[in-house]
Amino acid sequence: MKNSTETYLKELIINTLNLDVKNINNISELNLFESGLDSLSLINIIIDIESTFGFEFNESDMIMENFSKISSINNLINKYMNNY
Amino acid sequence: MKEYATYIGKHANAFNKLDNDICTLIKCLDPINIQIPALIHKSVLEKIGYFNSFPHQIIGIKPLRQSIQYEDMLLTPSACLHFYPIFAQEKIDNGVFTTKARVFRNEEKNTDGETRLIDFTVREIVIVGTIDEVTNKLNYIGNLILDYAKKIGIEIELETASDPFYPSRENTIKRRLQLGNNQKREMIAIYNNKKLSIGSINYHGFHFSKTFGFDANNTIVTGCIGVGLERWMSILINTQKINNLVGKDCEI
Repeated sequence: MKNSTETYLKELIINTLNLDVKNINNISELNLFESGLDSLSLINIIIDIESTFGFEFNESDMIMENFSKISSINNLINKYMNNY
Repeated sequence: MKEYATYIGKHANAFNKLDNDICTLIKCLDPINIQIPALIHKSVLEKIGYFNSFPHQIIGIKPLRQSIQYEDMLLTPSACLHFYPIFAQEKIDNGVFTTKARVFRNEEKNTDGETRLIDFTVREIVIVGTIDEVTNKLNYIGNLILDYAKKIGIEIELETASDPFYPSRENTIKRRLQLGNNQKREMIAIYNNKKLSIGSINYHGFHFSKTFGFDANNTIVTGCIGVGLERWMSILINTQKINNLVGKDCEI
């Protein structure tokens, strides 16, 4: 499940931000805010995640740091999936 | 009139004094004045997604005796929206900027002539700079205004808040992001046993700097403080504290 979540997330982020993956060494640790993530694209990513997994992030978990890297978003999703 | 407020004599003097006092408070930060119009071009609001976030607040203009409508022109709903195209055009990436402006929001039938108006006045202060510069100055100015309010007899508390977004899936996420990141704090006064917001402190992050292209590779952010002058006046007049601003009348 963890691997499939990360694969889904990578695909979602690459498509949303139009990333050129050939030039990225470790996409899981890429700083997304330095790679084109703005408030509108972040909202679209959150909508996609919440629709796909069927939960809503709590306000307290919606700090920017939690959405700054694919690995941190992945950890956040796993936290919710483990609680359901 | 329930849609706007007017003042005469002592109250008009108090209104101006209130605004001048706030300007004096921030003088140490060398603020640069910006003059803005009542109108704003539709494209500015489109660019920042205002039609998705607050479509219910927007007011257009229309001549009374002609069928044409100035569809590209709207009444400015928030003073700071004029600042960001200027920052982009003038290549500004640092500083404190301010204006006193009339802003216009559709309140449907909720106007009361004092605290809820469709035409009201704000002293707007916008800060541009790095994350640390903007957050430090927002806190600094916020505390100056809180101390000043106390001095003239208004007790204010800061409360984490969110903007009155139009209800939609996208906007519930904006609301949760705003609350989760403590991006908006309202200056709350207790008045007539009710909470009344008389200003707000807003951290925008990269929202405007990226949209208008002055983020300088993810280093420049913005924030603003808006002070609703009519609401301050309403409290001061109705609690008989207006003399704290302009002194007592002559007793002859």
